[in-house]
Amino acid sequence: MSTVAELARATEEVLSAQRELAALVRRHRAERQAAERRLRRAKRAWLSWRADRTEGGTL
Amino acid sequence: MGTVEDLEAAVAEAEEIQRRALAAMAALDAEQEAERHQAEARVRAARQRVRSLVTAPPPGEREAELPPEHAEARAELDAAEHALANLPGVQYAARADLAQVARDAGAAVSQARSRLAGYHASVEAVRRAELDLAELQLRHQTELAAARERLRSVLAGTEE
Repeated sequence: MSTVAELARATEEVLSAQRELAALVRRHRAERQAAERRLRRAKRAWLSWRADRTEGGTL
Repeated sequence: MGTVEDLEAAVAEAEEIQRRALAAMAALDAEQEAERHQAEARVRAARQRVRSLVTAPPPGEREAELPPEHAEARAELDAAEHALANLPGVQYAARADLAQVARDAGAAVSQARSRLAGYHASVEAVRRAELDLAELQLRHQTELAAARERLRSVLAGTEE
């Protein structure tokens, strides 16, 4: 294999690994945002429950 | 401010009210049942007395000439039967009040239990979401380290 071909192959390998890393980072961001949304929703539900309880006064 | 202890106390209090109302109803029923039994026993005794006088008149006497105790026994029987017939009916008002208290307390128990379940569910949802997020972050760190290692390896390979 020529030097040019080897260089092209190596470059493609590096780019592929970089693309893979970038895709992983994007996927992680989406997953983290979804998990954070779930946590915020759960906390809102809890706060709402407490507000109802406080305003209601009695059971 | 409401706490889980308040909720648990509310459940216990409503259960206690319900229990007392049901016990009071049972006591009322038992008391009236005892009065009825007493009146029935009085009637039975009076009937027995009348029967004994009627079936065993003094020798040589006709029924019309029965002694005064027969008239007394008849009068007692009438009085006993009258008392039985006129026993105060079930104390409907008091019993109905107690039944209402028991129903209200039962509803309060259900409501308090439901709120307690809501509390536990919301706390559990927050705890689970926090745990999920922590696990996610851990997994991401592992995956990122592996991906970076692959990239480093590729770069090292190209340098050779």
